[in-house]
Amino acid sequence: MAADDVLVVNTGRELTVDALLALAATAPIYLQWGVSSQAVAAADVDLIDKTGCNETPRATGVDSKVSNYTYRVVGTLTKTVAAAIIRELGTFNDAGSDLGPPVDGDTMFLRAMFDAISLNVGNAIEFTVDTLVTAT
Amino acid sequence: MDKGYEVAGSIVGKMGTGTTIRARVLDENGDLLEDLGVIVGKRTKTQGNRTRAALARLAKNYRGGKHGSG
Repeated sequence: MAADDVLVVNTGRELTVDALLALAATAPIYLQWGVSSQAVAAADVDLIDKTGCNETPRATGVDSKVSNYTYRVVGTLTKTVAAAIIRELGTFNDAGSDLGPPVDGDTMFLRAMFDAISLNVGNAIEFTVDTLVTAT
Repeated sequence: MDKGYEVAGSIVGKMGTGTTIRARVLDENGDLLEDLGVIVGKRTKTQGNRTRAALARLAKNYRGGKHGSG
């Protein structure tokens, strides 16, 4: 007797990418940055430290399907207020209205923490965020 | 009376994600200052190949006596 098994198959993985794209304006295409180097945790719901990052709350990116299983968001954040050392990035499903924590209907999709990137006023970062949907 | 059984339950499947983030730093005109490449996630195949090529060059130079006090 064969062992029990279950797998999200390739067409199911593609369906997940299509579902994200279908969200349109409520897809996680809004980018925000911060300065914390705190490790990423699955329970995170917001960036950890947005000190000095009070640009227009979030940049609106553009999403696309770059492979059957990869959901891409490309967006650019620009330093307009003060120089800062950027250490974290989040994507959300809402443009946000202020720098406070997300409110109802405003949900973080992912949070990333990375090596410091020093930016002066006027500098920008174009982020390309690829999320690969895997079967396991 | 029906003596058959009814089986109720659920199947729990797993699905995951792998994320890669690339970054390009731009100046106030939108011109490229620095391409940081992949800052989060797995290295690209090209980067891996470059690393392997660099290691191979180092090993070759080491064997050839270009490094070390010999």
